[in-house]
Amino acid sequence: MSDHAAANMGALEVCALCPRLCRHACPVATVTGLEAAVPSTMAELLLRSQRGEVEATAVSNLCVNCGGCERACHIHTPWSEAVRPFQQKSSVRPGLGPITGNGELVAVMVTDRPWHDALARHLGTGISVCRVTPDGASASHAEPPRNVRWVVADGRAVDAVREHVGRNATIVWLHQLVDIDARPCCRMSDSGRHGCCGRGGPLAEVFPSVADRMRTSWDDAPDPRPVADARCASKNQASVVDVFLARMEETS
Amino acid sequence: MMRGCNLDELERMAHARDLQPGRTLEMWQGRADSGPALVRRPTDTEEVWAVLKEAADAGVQCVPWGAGSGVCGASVAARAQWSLDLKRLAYLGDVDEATWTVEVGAGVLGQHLESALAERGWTCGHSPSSIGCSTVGGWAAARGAGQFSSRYGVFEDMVVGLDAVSPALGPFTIGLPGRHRYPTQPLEWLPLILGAEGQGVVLTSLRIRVWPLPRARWWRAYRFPKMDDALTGMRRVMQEELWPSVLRLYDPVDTLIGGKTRPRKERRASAAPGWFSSWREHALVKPHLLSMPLALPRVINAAAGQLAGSSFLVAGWEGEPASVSALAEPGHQLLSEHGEDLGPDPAERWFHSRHAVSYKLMPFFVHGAFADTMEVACAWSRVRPVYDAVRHALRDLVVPMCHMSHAYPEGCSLYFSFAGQGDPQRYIATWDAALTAAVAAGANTTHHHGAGRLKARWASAELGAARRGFDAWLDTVDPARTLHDLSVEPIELPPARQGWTPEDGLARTVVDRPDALTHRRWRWASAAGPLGAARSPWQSDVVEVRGSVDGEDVVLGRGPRSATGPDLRRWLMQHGEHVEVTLATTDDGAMRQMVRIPCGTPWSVACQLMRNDFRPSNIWADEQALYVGFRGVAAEALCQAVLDWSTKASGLIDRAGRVPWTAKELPAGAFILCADDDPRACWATAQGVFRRPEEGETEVDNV
Repeated sequence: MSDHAAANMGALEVCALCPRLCRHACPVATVTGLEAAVPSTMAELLLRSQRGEVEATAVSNLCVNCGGCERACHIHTPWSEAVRPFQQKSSVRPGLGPITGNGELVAVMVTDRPWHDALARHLGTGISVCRVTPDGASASHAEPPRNVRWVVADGRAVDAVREHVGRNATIVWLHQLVDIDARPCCRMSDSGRHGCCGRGGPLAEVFPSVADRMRTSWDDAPDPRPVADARCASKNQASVVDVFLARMEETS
Repeated sequence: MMRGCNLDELERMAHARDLQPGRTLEMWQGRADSGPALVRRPTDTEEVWAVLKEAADAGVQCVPWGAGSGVCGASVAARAQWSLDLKRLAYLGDVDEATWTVEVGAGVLGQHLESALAERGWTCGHSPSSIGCSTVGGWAAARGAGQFSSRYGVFEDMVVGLDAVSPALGPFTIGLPGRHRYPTQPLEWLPLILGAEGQGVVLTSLRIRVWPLPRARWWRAYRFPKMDDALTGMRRVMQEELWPSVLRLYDPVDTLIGGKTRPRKERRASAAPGWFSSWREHALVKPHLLSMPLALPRVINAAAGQLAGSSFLVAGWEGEPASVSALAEPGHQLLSEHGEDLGPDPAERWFHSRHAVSYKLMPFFVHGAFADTMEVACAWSRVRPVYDAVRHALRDLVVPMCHMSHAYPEGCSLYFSFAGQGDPQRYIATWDAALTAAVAAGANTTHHHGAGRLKARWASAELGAARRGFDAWLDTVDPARTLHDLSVEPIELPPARQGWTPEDGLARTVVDRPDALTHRRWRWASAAGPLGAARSPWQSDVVEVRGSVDGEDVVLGRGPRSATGPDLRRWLMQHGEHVEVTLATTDDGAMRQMVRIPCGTPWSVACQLMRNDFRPSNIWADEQALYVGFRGVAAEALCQAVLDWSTKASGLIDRAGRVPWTAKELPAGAFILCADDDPRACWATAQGVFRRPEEGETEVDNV
């Protein structure tokens, strides 16, 4: 057991003993019906793995770290922190390309829909641009320009910045900067889908059939209302970028 | 690929236990079961049948599994059995606004159902503390009861139709049909399926009643120096037909430990509740803070008895503003006679934290202790004896506390929580002592947790020879017992205390013919009358049924409501000998008021009346008018509210007025949903207008 895992045993114990009260908020458990994906059940299996009773650490990869269970938990047990040390490291990590431009705000682009020009016009200032690369290729950002603030519109951009710049990087969310009522996706894959839908990450690598089912259910379910609780809160809203660009168009 | 990535194997381990605290203790102590032989996860009704046929061919027994939230072990498959996980039966239909019903798959989680309904302005009203982790199918299988059962009914009151699969007969439908058309089976099967805990058939889809989200809520908390006064207050509120949504009394120990009557503390910097912060800070590093007291239960119980004083009661009403106003005020007057009014704040606190109670169990297990709960029910006059008997039986074993909830005009449930040292022998001894004491003092085996394997011996004793009725049905639907069988040899119990007192509002009647039941609370339904599917949730009349089966005496009921397996009271009435039925009665001296509403389609108006949150004590119609009567301290206010409503509702009925109270018998028997203007209409609930079936017509054909 790693030190990190040991430090989080408190949360594992609490979750293993919990009567599975957050299961309705788990997108994987909801969409697939898998009992092993329920955070409390997963915690129990991880705990029993630690004791050598069973070999089940792979179960941790059913968690997509969406944070839904933590939001539903009345005692705010830090499940994501507890489960991450058990998860297989994803071989596909987002990269971060070079910065172009001289602005102190760096717009971190994930998709091909540019929004930095509109942001520059909106703020009346110059904006630099940096692109997230899906294959992990990265320019060196060990010593980024001083006072840079990274402007992001989704979780994948956050991951890339933190991975390649460091956890102390100053991150600003687009929706906060322009004051629009739209929430960002918690994590987006290179195909522009929600991470919770099973695209990318340990789930897709370790349990591809489960990830497939997630994708199918998320996209094609004829009546997805039963999973409403477990969906990313941004799923039913237009993306931050869409809302922002639409507003800029109206203004112009 | 990582080791242990076999999903089937992970699923097998994940189905090894439900939420029975004894199982949690075993897991924590490293004694977890290995799980079932296989987990099957069908996606629709046809696939359920295919799995059952496969299991039958393989000679394997299946155990249905919803979300594994049961606390009695009913859903846990043994090593040689298959677990039949039903969560992928996750269909959720649109609310049918014509019948105020919704079709929902058995595998839909309760919270998902409620969230989806709430988005559209509806609720099913079933709100158990397990709502986030239990399925609709599980609610039906164990006959659950939610925290607002006094208003919305217990779960079997909510079911108006279902689809299920019999290993022998395949898929079938009962009652209001859904999106699939399967062969229909008689409504008489409904009480055998609900509460069967997965025996006989597999539930796949249910049609349940829904209600508009309440537009008004009224909350109050009270402190009673004497618990008996609080029980009297609860009884009077129910027998005065004031229909609260919540009436919940905590005994002095629970009140003391829970600190429920204290003023709200300053919010802590942490978002976590105070108990959890304290636990994390102290109990984790000082295990003796928890384990030492539990090692000395007799001392702690004696000390708690000395320290504990008052009892805390939460009362709530919800619904349409007019009826909430008419009902809550007299309820408040009744409860204030002996209770100190604490205002709405403590009650609202209970409401907002009502689903968080289960978090309190975890600290006990961390230190090798256990915490568990036991819920039974009995008539009002037996509540105090049952309470005292259970506490006395547990005094040397565990630290118990209790709350009384799920109130009915005839009685209520007692919900005991107890904590003790995590010795498996002590756990077993605690259950033996508690349940035996409760039953001997006049309670039933379970109010809403089901019986499962944990209480199977007591459940067998409660059902007695009436179980033969259930076995005969099993021989029809599952002769090979492809689904699990929970029958065991009954425990030998001392004779139960019997007998009602006048305050229970009950009377016993010998049944020699179905229409012989003259002393009935609800004059619109006889014991042999319409089943729950065609009645409103609060219209129950039969409480206890006694009779003889093959020469063996049987007593079913023993309280206002029992979830001890299937409901066999109707079967006993029809097949037993020397049958006596105990009925809820009315108080002839109670205040009574009646309104006459002239209208051309009276039963349609009656349906609208009930959809506007009125719950008449008496209702009947002739060709020109609808007659609506209320009984009890709120009768006058309710009649006025009906007059106000009828004036606003339609110009056609603005000549409504008060008339002398009269009561007429309504026809009993099966009913069929019919058009509002059908001249044969003779019955109404919030779900629609009904008429009697004609010869050769089944209940389902015309729905």
